[in-house]
Amino acid sequence: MYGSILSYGQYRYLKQAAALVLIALLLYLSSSPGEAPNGGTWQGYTLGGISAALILFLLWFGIRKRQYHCTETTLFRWVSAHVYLGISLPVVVTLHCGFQFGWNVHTLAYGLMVFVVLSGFYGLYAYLVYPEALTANRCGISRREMITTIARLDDTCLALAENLGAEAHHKVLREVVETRLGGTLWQQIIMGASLPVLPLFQWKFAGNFVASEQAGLNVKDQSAEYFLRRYLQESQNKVEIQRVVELLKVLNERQFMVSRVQRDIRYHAFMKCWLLLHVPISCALLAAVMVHVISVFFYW
Amino acid sequence: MRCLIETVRRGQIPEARDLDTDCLSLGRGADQDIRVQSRLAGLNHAVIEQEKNGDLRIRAIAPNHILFNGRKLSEAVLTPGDEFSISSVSLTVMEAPETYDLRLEIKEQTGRQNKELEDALWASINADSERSIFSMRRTAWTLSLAILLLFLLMPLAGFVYKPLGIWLRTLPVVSDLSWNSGTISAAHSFFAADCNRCHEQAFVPVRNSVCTDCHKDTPHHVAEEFRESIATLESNRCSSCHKEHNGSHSPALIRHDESLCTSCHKNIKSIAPDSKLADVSDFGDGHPEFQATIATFADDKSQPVRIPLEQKDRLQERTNIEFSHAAHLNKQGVKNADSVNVQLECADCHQPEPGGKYMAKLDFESQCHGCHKLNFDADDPKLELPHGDDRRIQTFLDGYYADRAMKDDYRLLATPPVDRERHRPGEALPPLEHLERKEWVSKYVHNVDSEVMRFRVCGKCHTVSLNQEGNEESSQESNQETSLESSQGDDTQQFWKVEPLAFSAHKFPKADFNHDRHKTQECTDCHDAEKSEHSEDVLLKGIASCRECHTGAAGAENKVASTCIDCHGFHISQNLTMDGKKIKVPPKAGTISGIESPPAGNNVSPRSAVP
Repeated sequence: MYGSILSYGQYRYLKQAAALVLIALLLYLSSSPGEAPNGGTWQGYTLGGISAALILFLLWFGIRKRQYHCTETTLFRWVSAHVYLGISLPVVVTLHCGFQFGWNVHTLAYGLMVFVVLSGFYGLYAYLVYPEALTANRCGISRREMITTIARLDDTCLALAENLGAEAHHKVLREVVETRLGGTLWQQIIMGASLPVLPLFQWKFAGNFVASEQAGLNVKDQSAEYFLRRYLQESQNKVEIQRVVELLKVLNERQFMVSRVQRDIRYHAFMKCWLLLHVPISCALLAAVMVHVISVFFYW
Repeated sequence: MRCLIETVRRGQIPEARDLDTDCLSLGRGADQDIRVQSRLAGLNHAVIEQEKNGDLRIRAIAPNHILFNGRKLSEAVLTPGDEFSISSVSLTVMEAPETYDLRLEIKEQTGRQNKELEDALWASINADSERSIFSMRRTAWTLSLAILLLFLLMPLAGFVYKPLGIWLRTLPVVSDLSWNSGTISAAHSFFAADCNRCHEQAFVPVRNSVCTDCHKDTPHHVAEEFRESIATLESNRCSSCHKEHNGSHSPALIRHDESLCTSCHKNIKSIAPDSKLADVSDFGDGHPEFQATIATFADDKSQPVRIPLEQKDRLQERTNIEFSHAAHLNKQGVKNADSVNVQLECADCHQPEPGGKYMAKLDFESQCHGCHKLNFDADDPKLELPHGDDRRIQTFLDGYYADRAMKDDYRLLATPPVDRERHRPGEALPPLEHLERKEWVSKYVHNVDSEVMRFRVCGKCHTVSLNQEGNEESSQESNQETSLESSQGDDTQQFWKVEPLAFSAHKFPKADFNHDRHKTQECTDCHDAEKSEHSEDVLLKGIASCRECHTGAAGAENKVASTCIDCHGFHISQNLTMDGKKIKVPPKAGTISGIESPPAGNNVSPRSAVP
């Protein structure tokens, strides 16, 4: 389904964007050899006009995607056009400026445009890759269902731990209450991610074992699982051993579910994080383009 | 520590308990003083103890601490009115009755235990992201407004209030310098920081008067003769051709491209129907044969005419000199005055003038005299006639032969020889003899003058004509056989005259040829001197020889890409400056003479023609 963002209408917008780039190139090449190509020639003004129209069109997508009642054209079509015309934009703008860059507001606008397009490239990658990963991770159940399951498992854990004494209950309760599924965007991305190089870093951001870290202890030694395994080794009571085994089983099941939720959240974060820059920098780009246009004609 | 614990449950009658303990324990465990019925409560969740100073301190033991007055704390001092909660159970510290140290009111939430756990999980997903300092909307507004403020409003304020603008330019970013679309050319860089030197009014293109304020003495870009035919050029804005902000040495400021010229000259009749110029599109394949400006015999007068090099039959220059390049460049050599054989080369006579652009004018003393002596009398072989002023020759001969007459040489020279009469020293000549000597001198000088002028000395190289004083018409020796005898009889003042040299110093006054830049070439690559036997020959090979090395702007393999401006100047006015004043000393162009200075004007190089 997501692949059809690119192939929509038999690559209609790819063709249109390619045609646009071709026109821009022809315009650029038609500039008089005596004049350094720049935004001030008639070709430059034309390319500038096309660029400004493209930017407005691409920005309009932000408004259009929020017009849920609008049914004239599908949002899908808009995304396809947004992607291809967005890719053509840096080419047209570069030809508009004639490869002239400097420390000025014009190049600021250019830099913002490049940043927005690059972040858009990441967004395209994310939208092509993560939805599939999300579906695979969920295995047909919703996040709400997963959380309900975790809550049920939490309840079971705590009930089992109550019978194993205060310390065991304390460890399990800590495991339960310190479980963080979300948090800031950075935490969403880092949590549950398999980062073998930075395990401590990962745990720290996951909010686990902070106290024990402060005490200078090995964080793993403070986990409920570690405690219970040791408990298992030391205990002689058959009933207790059975309870501990049961508890470990539930904890394991719970950890598996927590990881799945965290992965779910992480994939969503991957699909969302680029927008946090893409959208505000797009707005900044609009402001910079306004300044660019006004300043150019102000000092004509 | 005596405590009053009041428990409020929904739909039930509140119950109160009285406890007296040192350490009030709260938790899920059965042994706790206050049992908290919540899954998220620790077995021993917290304790309340009275400190020595009487303060009541609550200390959390469980990892999820307590939510004390909305803040998650591990311990706190209790005062009446404080509220804290352990999971879903909330406790309020009430004003304790006199006999009690602590009065707590407990409200227990009823409902599913799982719901509580689930809520906590949802909270862990959303809580922090909602508190996130990063908001897309806020960032977008902040960035956009910052850009508008720094790059638009502040420079605008500086434009409206000039002192502010000048101050802003000393700061980074915020001035109108941030609007600078490109580096100013090196020529204008000294006022690059003062935008308003050119950009005077908002939204008004830079006016021509801004340019002519400084460039008032620059020759006007439209020569007077073209002002009507190319009125559009005159009405153009300076900046439509001279583009700024394209780099310190950008070609856009002074255009060198072909289209600068070919936009009109490709089809010149469409701009100027009366123009006699040929259409030009490209040097490689769209340029007519060169026209040389040469002195001709037209109307029996030496005058400059432009003749295409392809019209060989018309290409005869009246130079008033007899000279054979072929003879001088003879491979066998030529004999000099001492009858020694010497091999001459071009450079023996033709040397560049300082700067090397043009060849220096030829000079008899340096170039010719070494071989061509001006001796005229066999009795006095060392004595030579003066060069450069034909009127002085007769005077010189008069003096010389008068002297010889006085020395009685005339008797020997006269035909038939006259007998010598003797006189006492200091005695005046008898009138008859005086007259005789005078007549001899006159006749002898006339003969010698005629001989040296016509045949032997001057006439060997120069065109000589008989001139009658008061009579403007002169008869050329080369055209008619004027006999010496015919002029001997009458008394009218007749004398032989050397015609002034009349070749054009610069055959291509409309082009800007530079010999120095072509010194890698042989002279004969362009000038066919070795085959030229007459001075009338115009020694220029034409456009084909140029095209052996040069081609149009598009370039070609092993050829120099050349645009119009590489050879031609813009049609700058010779007489007017930019502000319409007359130029005091208009430069001459295309003059006919062997000694004139190189023509300027139409030949102005593009570098000197810029404003």
